Amino acid sequence: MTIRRPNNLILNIVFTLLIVLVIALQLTNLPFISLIAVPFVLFCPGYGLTSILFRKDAIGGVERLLLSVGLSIAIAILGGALLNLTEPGLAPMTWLLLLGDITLVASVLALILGRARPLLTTTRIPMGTLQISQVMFLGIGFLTLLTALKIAQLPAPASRVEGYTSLWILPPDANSHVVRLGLNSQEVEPVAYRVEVQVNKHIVQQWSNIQLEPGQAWTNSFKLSNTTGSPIEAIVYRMDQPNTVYRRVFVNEAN
Amino acid sequence: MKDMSTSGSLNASAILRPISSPEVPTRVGVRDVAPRVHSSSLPQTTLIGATGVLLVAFANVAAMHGDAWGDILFWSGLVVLFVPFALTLVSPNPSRTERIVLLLEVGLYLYLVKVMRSPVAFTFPDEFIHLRNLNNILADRHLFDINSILPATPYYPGLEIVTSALVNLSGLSTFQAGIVIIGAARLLILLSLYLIFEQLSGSPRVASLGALLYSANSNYPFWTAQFSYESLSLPLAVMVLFLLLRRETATDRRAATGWTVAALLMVFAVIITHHMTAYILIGLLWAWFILERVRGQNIKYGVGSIALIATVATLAWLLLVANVTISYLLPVFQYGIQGLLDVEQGSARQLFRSNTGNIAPLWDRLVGIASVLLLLVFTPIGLARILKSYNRKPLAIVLGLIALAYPLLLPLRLVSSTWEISNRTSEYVFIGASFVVALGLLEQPWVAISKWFARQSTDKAGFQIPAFGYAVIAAILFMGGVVAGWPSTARLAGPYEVAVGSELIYPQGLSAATWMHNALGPENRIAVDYVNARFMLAYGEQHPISSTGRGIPYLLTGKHIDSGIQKTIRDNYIKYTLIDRRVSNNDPLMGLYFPSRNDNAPTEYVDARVYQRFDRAPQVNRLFDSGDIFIYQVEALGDNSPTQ
Repeated sequence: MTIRRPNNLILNIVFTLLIVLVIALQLTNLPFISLIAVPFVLFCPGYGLTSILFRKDAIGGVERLLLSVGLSIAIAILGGALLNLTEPGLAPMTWLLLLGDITLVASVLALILGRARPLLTTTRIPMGTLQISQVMFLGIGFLTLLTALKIAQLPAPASRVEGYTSLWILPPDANSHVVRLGLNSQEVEPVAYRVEVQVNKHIVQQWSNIQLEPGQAWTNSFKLSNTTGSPIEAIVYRMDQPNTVYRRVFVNEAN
Repeated sequence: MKDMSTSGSLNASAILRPISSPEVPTRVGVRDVAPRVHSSSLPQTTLIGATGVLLVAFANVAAMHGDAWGDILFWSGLVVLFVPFALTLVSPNPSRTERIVLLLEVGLYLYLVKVMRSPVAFTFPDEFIHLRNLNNILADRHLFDINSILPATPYYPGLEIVTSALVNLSGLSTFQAGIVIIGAARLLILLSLYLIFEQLSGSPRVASLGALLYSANSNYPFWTAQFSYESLSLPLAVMVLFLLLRRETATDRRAATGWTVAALLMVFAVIITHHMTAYILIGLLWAWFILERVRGQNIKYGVGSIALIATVATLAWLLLVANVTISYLLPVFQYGIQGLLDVEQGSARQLFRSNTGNIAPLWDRLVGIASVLLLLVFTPIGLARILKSYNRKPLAIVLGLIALAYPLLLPLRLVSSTWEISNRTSEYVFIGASFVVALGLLEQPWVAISKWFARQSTDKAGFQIPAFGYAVIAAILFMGGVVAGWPSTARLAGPYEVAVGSELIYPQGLSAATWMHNALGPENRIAVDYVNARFMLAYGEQHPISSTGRGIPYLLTGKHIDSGIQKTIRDNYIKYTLIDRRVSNNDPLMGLYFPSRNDNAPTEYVDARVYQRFDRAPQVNRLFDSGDIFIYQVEALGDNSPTQ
């Protein structure tokens, strides 16, 4: 199969303009944006610079690949250090301008210098000689990799870990005397709780049968009256173990 | 250029061809030849390698389920992943392009081993530090913010800069962008090494085997795959070496200028990215320069000027921007030198025993010892080869000298105070050692033995033995690196994200950090242990103080509140402290995960007096209790409270 190969620098320019347009129009939530943003950052600037630095036949394709990626990273690092000196800093728009400009200027200059070359150095793409079984191997290999990554991302099973519940309290505000407290269940099963608040060892507030699913939170607040300086303590009991303190926090108001 | 892939099927003479008759002419800058996919083993190797990756994925799942066969699956996966690539790359048949594709492919697969260990978030201790730096840059849009755990890191922001560019423009999360950047760096270093070795030896076979053997350094599978500044700076530094080596062959001044400009840009990028890599790069460049002079060669484009510029620029960055590095690195150097001086008096370290007391399985120990022995056998053979055939190439001699450091650093692994020096230098030492060992592996004496074996065999399958032997040796070297790097308990994933129905729950340290951020705000100074400090830094956006030199360990582990603790609180402006009562939390690699529920080995706790002492102090508030983690407000204890 013989195909007509596009000019490498024209393609670099068109690609850069495309992504500049996409990002400038704030279309960054498009699903494919990360696919084109990665080469925009990690390939295009270096490719443009490489095209200026070297005549088109002075380096091989592997060297060009290495230089494109390596120089793109170097350009981003050094460019970022320069952006730091500006008022807007390392913002999306400044990045877009910096990397887009470098790529476009370098590619246009290289084009003027006659550094354009076909995208591939061979005239034939050896697809015609690839056996069906080999295509299948490659395809299955790719699918196997995707499967492996999906499997690795599976969360761990709850049966292997101990869940927990967090209890927290925030000291009363100096003016409003409001105390805030909360529960956050990271248990591996639904749990019912009883929360008890004591001031000077006397129960002043109580909530019973608070049912929390795993991942669920409960918050509450109450106002203290005439207890300034007294220690406040919040204690949580599980309803299935009503006599065992499960969690405990306290505030010594002297603090 | 002759493409050696035209040699067709594997035959004995091809396998046994000595490296003195390289497969390609030594002309450089040649146009690449397209892979002859139809005659290559690329598709099959791809599939088998991917199957190895799948096995490693299952190994991680097994580990999270607490199944004992996770370790067996892990090693099986690595063998299935690595051996087909080694087998193909040691063969003389593949074309140059096919070798490069295979090399990058195996590099990607090995990187996935790390990615699959931490597939949803950064979980390595240093990754939290750089994640905080990155988040600071994304929030403030400027560099050089504060990092209380490793204050020097914000002044070497190369990794965070390029990652922030990707986050800003791609919509990727910080984790995803970090994975992409480090992945690109991993491919850069393999490609750079390949091109250096090819340029020096003139042999794609030596080059591909050498680059593959770089993966045998103990820090390759995990340490240099983490989101950390050294993981990016080292590939950039290796690329500098290639650019300067390639410049020597420039046919005209214009081309030489191109290589010089590219090399200088990379040098500056290294300087901004990592202090130690910059220093080592400078050292290598000066060694290269000295050898150029000593050899008295008429070199058109010497490296002296680049070495000088790199030295001046590094010093300028250190003194004008990152002078905090001096106070960070000086104790490190002092400790290292002291450890070397006291090596005889130093406490002996038991090999194959981790800091947390875990003893490596027998399989680990055997592979580890075998790999060291193989390295010790092939290093002198490779060095002799360099002296014989490459003694007019200064960089080849530099690589030989670096490789020589490997056996010299080995004894340091036997002493507690110095083993880390030996371990941490492996990614640098193997830049030379991988080349030297590849030369040694393919050297004449070894080939002569292979020839003898080949003559004895009568059937065609017999011809495969030498190639398979090479692959087995390469695999043992690689697996030895894995063994020497991380303990077996830390190589596989732990329970970090746990599914409860449709909900996900996370470890206590992460909950404590996010609660603190939401309830108490960012930037509080909190005394906290090593592991929870990472959560507090990256997710709590606090200023965790966990340094060992400021009385913090005593604050965290003492059994009473005394004047020493009060002084620590006062001197360090501590407002809060976090106490974690689990002993498992002392493991820096696995302590951040949920402890596995094991009825036979219940969770161990520290002495109750440690975490109960603050409960008795009237000036202290206990604001958070998650069962194992308590957050106390302790500022009043130090007399530095504005309320006192």
